[in-house]
Amino acid sequence: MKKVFTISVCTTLIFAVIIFIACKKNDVSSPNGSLPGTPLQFVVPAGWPAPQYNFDSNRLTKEGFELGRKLFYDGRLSKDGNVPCASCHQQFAAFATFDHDLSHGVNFRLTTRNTPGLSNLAWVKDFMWDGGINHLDLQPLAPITATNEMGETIAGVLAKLNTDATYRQMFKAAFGDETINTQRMTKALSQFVLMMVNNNSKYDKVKRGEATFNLAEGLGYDIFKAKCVSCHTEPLFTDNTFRNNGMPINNNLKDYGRMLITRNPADSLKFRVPSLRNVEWTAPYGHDGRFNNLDLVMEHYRSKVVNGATTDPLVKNKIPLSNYEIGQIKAFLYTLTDTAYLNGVQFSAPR
Amino acid sequence: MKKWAFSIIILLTLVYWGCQKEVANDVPVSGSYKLKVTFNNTVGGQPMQLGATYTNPFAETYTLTAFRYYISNVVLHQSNGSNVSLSDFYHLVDQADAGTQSFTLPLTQNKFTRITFTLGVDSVRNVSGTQTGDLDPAKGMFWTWNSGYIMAKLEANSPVSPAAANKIEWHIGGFKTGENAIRQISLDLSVNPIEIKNNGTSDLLINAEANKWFNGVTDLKIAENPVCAMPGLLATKFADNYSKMFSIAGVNNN
Repeated sequence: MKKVFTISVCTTLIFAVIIFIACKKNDVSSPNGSLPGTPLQFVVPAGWPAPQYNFDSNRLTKEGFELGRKLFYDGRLSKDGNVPCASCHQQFAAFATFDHDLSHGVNFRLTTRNTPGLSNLAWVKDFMWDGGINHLDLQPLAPITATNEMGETIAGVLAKLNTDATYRQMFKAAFGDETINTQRMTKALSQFVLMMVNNNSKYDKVKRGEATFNLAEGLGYDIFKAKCVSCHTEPLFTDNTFRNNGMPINNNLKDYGRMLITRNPADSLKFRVPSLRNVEWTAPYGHDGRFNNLDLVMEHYRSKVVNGATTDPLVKNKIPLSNYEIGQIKAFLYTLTDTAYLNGVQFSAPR
Repeated sequence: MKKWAFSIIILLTLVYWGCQKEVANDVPVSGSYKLKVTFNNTVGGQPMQLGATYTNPFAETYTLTAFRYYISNVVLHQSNGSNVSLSDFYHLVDQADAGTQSFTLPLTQNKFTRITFTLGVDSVRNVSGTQTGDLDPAKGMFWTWNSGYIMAKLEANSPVSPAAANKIEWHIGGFKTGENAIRQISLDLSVNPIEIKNNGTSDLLINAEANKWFNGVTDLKIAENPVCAMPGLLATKFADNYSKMFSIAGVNNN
């Protein structure tokens, strides 16, 4: 009899455990618990600050990244089919627009600003030259809907994606089912651009002890640390603040920058401090692309700063720079070029 | 026999443990009571119709083309001070879509003497990335270039509007300190309380009067303010005005 009891207890327990596991499995398939796709690791380079992006809200997967990549290069996100994200964010120009002062969108319409290069976006809190967008996931919605950029409606983009079986399959692979909505589209785009970490320049290799600066680069680095680094802070080469660097208003564009967002006169003519990573490839420079080359940028800080009510104290007395120093600084800035980033096939148009 | 009893207890415990979370997840608020809340949009006390021409309190005429607003964080209060709150509830009322003008809430209690709700979208949802459902930016109630929800929207044409194409474009939003356009609405039901019968559905009818946008608190004439499309002082004045647009039209305890 004892044996029978033991068997009964064991059987019951096994039965109970099976039901328990079965029920738990239902939990896992609930919307918050499902985990589709192959996880993708986001690595914070040694010595870098903690990212601003909340990765808990958007689990990175290979499938999500590939979906974001396809979306980034797809002209259907624009009204006329010709203006994908990548039309202004060109990989060979470090995801800025090569040789264009102002970027342009559908119907040959010009915008009022220069396309910023894209990299290390996980460390950015407020996006665009004026910081008007408070979350990376929301950022693509601005160019998609701007009439002088991609000129489309969000609903229009979603409708086009929904007609494409490949997209439906890719959304399922990334998010668990075929639902295509704004949140999923923008999270996928975020996954793609979040992985655009740029940390393999010569500068980074020097910092890791894998390379050494030549004489000009080393001297340039010292000058940079003395005269530029307070705004272009290492390792991101921007402190992500908004400052008036003494560029006078362009009377045609009438772009007052950060003030358009905050409506605070103290923010007049303030723009994001741009990162200098890959600066060799992101010409022209300035929020409206008014400087065609780095020499003109240096000349601005050396002799052309225009003081107004909001001009940054760090530049209002101009920055003393000799021709010799400018040459050294440029030698250093070229060490911020990350060739692997510019050529990395993982960020290029999907085949 | 003791061992049988023991194993059955373990079985039941594990089954309960394994399954209870799922039930809690699927139905945040459950019960045998339901409340159907209906928003009747009106102009001058008459049922609102898009495309119809109305006269505001300043004798300015306008032809209404869009009227939408967010209702969120609905709380139903009981006379003893306790309440039932519906967290994570965001609902866009759109005059162009009759289906959006009412919603049914499953409740665990049945007697209520006050309803409070937020007119707009709380600040957290304005800073937490792309949302879904009625908060999906595809609904056209989100500023993409200066992140934030349009809490309420009134669009119209008026011969007295000095704006392009005689437009009235009032997109009211703003969640930051100093420009907050989120408004808390509180409507007393003590005269005609909600008392939902077991397994029953009560109706709560709320009127929303568009003409309050012009003078609920501050006089805002079309001729002087044809466009308000960003957060700021004017938007907060519009929000103050339209916070007065709601009134209880009736309670029906079927």
